[in-house]
Amino acid sequence: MNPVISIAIPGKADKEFWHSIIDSIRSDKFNSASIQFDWSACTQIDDISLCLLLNIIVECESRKIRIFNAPLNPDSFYQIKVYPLISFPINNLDTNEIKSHAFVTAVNDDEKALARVELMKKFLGNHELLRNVDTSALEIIFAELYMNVCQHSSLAEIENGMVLISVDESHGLLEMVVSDIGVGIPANIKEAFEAFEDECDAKAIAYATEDMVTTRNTEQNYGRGLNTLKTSVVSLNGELDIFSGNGHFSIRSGNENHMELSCYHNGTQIRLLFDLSNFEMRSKSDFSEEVNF
Amino acid sequence: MTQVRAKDLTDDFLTSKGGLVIGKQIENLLKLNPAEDVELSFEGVEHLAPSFVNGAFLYLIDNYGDDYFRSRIKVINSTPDVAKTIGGSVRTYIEHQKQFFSLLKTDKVFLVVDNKEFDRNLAIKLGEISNSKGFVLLKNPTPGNFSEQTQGVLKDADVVIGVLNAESQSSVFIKEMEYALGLNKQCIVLQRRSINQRLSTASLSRIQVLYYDDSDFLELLAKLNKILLSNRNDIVHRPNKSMERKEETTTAVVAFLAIAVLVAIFFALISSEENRKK
Repeated sequence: MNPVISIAIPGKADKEFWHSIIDSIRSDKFNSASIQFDWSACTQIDDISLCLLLNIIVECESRKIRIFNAPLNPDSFYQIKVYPLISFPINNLDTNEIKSHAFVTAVNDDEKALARVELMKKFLGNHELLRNVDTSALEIIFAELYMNVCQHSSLAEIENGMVLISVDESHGLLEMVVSDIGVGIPANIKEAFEAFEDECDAKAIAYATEDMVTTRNTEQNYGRGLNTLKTSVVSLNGELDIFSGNGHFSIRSGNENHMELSCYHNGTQIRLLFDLSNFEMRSKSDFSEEVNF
Repeated sequence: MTQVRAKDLTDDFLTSKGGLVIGKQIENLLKLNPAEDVELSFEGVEHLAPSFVNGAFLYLIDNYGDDYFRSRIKVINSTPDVAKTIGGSVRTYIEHQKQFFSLLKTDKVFLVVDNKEFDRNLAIKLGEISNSKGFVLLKNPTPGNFSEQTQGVLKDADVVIGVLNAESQSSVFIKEMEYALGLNKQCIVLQRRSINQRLSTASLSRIQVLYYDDSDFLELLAKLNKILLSNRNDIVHRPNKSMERKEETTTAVVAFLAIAVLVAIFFALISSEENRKK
């Protein structure tokens, strides 16, 4: 039986507290263990803490570290304040720019896609490391995933999702996490393609990343979003993880993997990690090409 | 040549909505000046998303065909990145369409038409010619009524072709097409451009929609005819009988073009009948 490591969340957990947990996870301190959060003393949580908590959940998933909460009563701070915000999109955020470490925004309105891309660009521009870097690939990924969430989650008639972007300047890394609580990719694929009815969720996710695969018959939806994402990740030598249902699809060094998860993942979470040294510097544009069809 | 700057039309080069603004503007220009090609400049556009290309260009390919698209539209003044994204997306889509049609099995065709009377008349006319060429047009036993018999015959089809001609199309048409999709049948829909109706569930791997209006319906039927005949098993896979195959194909093509003319006349009659009633 795996040992259980209990972590008591302080009254006003700040970003240093959450960072210390993330560092411990990344340095393999919690491997072969389960983490139990004790929320009984927590009375306050800010937006950046929510983002970092989301990061922790993703890290634990990818390392198969079980994460759960100590027994809660319905009146606890976590049940009332935290869980609704993690499980459901952050409704009290319209757009939010956090200048120090993370940019977070709700995904709930396709009309606001471009405005939020602009905010993201502004956030990225605040980092010395990114000032002269060509971040166009990130803008395209952001827009594709944003619109994907809006198009698919809108069916459920609930608020959609959230995007978290964080920059680790000391290691030169950029992480993007896009999270929603729609029905999930496997459910969508299995409904649209009979061949996948009996397949595992992970294979369904892998199929969804193929070009021209779409389950939505909206105007001009040709199933490019996830494939664009995959192509960009591979060309930038980044990492990709998609968690949805019981499936986990990942890309490492250009190689695709898929495996089944032991626990069910509500909705979809997409995590991207890039080494900024793989990005090209911005250069003067040459507008002389003619397109050959 | 009509010249257009993409940046004059939209600021959104990341979503399909932004692309559709361009696509529809090009469409309008081609309609207004049919003799002039369109040259679209991407001066000042540093990068764009594949979803944008969907709205701007794949929309036009869907509606007018790839030959028309390539011959009438030129894209200039783009960065290497933009050229690669546009060119790559368009070529991939055209290849996808070609693959869909090349994999069609077309020995037995079930025709779904949105007009009860037209359906009955068309099926009679087509049946007389098609049976004599070994090309089986499956007759709808209960046109205008989505019955068990219809479902039974539909199950036997290799491909289902739906003709969507009027906005007030019957709910039976939708039922029949969605039933076919539910059976994983390959489906082709010939849809009048002015109609906004879309089937509620569709996978691009199982359906292709070809658009038309009165001016190019004959051309569309000729194209469809070519696709159906080139995929006929008994013609395609008969070894060492290339001359016979050519003659047979030519005769079948002539026969089908004759059918196409008949169909066009039918549509014209219906169209004028509707106008007269108005």
